[in-house]
Amino acid sequence: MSLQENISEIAEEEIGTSLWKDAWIRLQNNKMALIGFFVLIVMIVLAIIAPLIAPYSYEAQNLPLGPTPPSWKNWMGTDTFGRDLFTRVLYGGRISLAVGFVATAVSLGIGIAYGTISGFIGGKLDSVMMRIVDILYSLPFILFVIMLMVLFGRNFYLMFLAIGAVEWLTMARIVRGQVLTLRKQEFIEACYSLGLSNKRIITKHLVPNILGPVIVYTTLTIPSVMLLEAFLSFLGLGIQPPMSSWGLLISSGVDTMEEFPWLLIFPGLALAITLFSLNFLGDGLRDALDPKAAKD
Amino acid sequence: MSKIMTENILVETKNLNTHFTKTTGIFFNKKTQTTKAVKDVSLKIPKGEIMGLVGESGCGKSTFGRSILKLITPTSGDIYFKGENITTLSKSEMIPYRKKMQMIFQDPYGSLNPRMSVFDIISEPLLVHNIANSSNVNSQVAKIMNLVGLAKRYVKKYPHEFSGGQRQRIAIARSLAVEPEFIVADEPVSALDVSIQSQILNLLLDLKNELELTILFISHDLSVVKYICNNVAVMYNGEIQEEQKTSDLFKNPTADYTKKLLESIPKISY
Amino acid sequence: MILEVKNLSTSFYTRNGIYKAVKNISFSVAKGKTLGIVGESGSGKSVSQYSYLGLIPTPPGKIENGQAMFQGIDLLKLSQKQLQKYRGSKISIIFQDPMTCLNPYLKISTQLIEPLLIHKNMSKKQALILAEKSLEEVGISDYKKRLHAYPHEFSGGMRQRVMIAMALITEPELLIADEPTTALDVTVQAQILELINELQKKKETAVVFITHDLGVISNVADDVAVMYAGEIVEQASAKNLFTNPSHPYTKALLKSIPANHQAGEKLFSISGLPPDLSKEIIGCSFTPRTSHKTPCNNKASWVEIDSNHWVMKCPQCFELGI
Repeated sequence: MSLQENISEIAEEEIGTSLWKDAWIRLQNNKMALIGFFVLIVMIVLAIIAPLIAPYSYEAQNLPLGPTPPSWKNWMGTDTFGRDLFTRVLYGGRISLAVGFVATAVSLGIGIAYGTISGFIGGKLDSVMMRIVDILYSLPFILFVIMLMVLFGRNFYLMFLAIGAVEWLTMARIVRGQVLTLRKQEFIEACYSLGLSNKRIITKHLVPNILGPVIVYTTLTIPSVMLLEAFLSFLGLGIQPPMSSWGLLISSGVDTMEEFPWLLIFPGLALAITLFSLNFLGDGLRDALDPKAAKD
Repeated sequence: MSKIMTENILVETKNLNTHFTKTTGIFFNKKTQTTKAVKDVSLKIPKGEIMGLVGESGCGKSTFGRSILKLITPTSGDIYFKGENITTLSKSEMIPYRKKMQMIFQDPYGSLNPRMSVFDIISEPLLVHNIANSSNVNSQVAKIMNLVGLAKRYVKKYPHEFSGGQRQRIAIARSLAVEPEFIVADEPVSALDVSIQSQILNLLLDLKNELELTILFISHDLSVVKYICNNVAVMYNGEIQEEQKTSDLFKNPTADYTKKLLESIPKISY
Repeated sequence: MILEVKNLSTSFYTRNGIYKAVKNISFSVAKGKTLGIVGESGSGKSVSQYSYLGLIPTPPGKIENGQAMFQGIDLLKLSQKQLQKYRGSKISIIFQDPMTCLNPYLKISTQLIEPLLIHKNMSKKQALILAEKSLEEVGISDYKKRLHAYPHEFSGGMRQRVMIAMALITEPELLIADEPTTALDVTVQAQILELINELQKKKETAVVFITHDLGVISNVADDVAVMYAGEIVEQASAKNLFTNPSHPYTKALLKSIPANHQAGEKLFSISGLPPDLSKEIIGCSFTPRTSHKTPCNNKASWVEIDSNHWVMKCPQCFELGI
């Protein structure tokens, strides 16, 4: 018989409310966070199904048409090459969100591993590892990216690498801080007295308890990564036309801000709404995941 | 100086020292501060008895308790379990001894992993040390919960859903899972209300009798120690001031510090 | 009477229900006397005092009704701003944990003179002189120098002395001490209790002393109120309470103390758990936990069993001698 079947055999068991469940319940009470959550889901879904719902191809040009304001044919208008803006915003969202989530995931993976090991082992190793972080922190980011560009050429995936390579530093610091605090807790001491292996202590006891602040920080990292991507693209170091991201759309929209304002407004709105949603969600998560409040 | 029976000693320390050093300053101005938390402590803990270790905060009793279990590495001295010197054993060599020597902590809130259910907490040591396998772990967990007076129906609940006294029961259950012979109880009832204290103290006494445990009961509360301990050692500033059978200590304290402690206890007298 | 509280009720509105933390309690404190409030966690002892001091966060707390007469003014009717004039000057509070009650970034001198500057409109120079004197009064050696030290340079017991100095520097008429010695060692506790007693005699301050430790209560309190599940279940002079306890909870508490047992004898422990304060409690709140399993469904009320010795019981339980 499997473990799960065994557990359900015990009659009249009271359902336990884990801290995660409790956090979810509390999150649901936070209207702004819920709105942020759903808006985010909508944006993500739209981005995923973009190829299915886009009325035009994102690179189909219509030069004679040129830039036109929003109309029934083109909901968000067209750009200087006659391309439908709505389509380009949809596809741009795919890039921006993908970069946002993937780069954050990369930084999460590296940051958690690095920070946990550094904080857990402590001592000289910790000092060395953190000095490395300090040094990397002080490297000027743009120079680093340009250097990568020079070495590997203009590569979309390179951008993930560059952004991930920067964001993991802060994640590592946060994780290490959490691990240092947790290490002093008595339940970790109890793990030692029970003879549990370091691997088990890290994976089963430390990591689940640091996830709270890490999750919150992640929802706040994604917007910053997206802005970073926008910045890089703005500078011409990221996405190359005819592909587009919200950042590129915004940068080209700025050029023609006065004559064709819609070229700036729509991609700008798309980015702003996504960032707001992530921020509200992040705030709500921070309050919901606070274990002290669970005692009420 | 010890008036305790020396036959059948389960745990013993000889000249145990635990010092903490802190280095401040940089480059050529380095200053090293050494705090001697445990100074040359030689203590014999008889099998099957509850030995009290009394002292005020900062006297080193908690550090001593942790040093015996090697949760803090002692600076010098020897620790013996059933006559075997365990002081210099490596981490893997310690594992069989870890099963025999457990600890109960003071804080019922910080000593349990808030993300694990009661089942997870108690089953973990059972499964990791192969005391139970997936087919009988449920009944084992139920047995242990019963032993500590926890209702079976709470098995899937989480620490924050329990009161302080119940959490302490869970912590005790966890340490009993590995079937220890020796338990260091570090102020196990200090954070609990008086009515709950008595429940947990009764529980510890019952467990000691049923499972033939030996307990080192660390506390600052003399009246609790007087009630539950067979022998008492008084600690001050890292050193043992005196050590006697409980009833003797309270009637005829020899050390000045002990006398001062006994005088300070608020007594109800009308 | 310096303070007279009547029919105070405080509840907390949470998403899990309305917790009636304090239910219809009445007590009073006289000048130069100490009222001890005894109870375990969840009994409402702290909430009962914080309610009339404006220290209950509202929401989720709410003072449902009651009156707290202090020098002819009902404190419960005052706004936060008005209450601020009382807190720290006429009514002072000492809290439990001396480690976290002092601002680690400010010198002791700054924190000590603060109430004087705000409430007594003194000049800094005058206030510092008083501050020095207050440190001397609470027994801090080398007070001239230590006045300008930081909190982390003091031990727990010393910090609590500083807290007491801070509380008494404005010569308040009422001092609320919320478990001031619980976090201290027993030798330090003895010193602090002696200090509070001394200062009280000198300045004739009325003191409300909250604690769960019966031994401490017997050493400081003139009168005692025992709280359980948000109610005062017994009120008497300390002597009467300890020599002739009437309420089953008081009796059970006294029985549970290890000091009242022979070594090895099974400790008396109270069965069951305190009631859920969000649910309506019918009848005597403690009876279900006594050996009389019959639940009580009658309304409990105050019964005077001796001069100034009151017990909260319903007629049936009183008859049965529960």
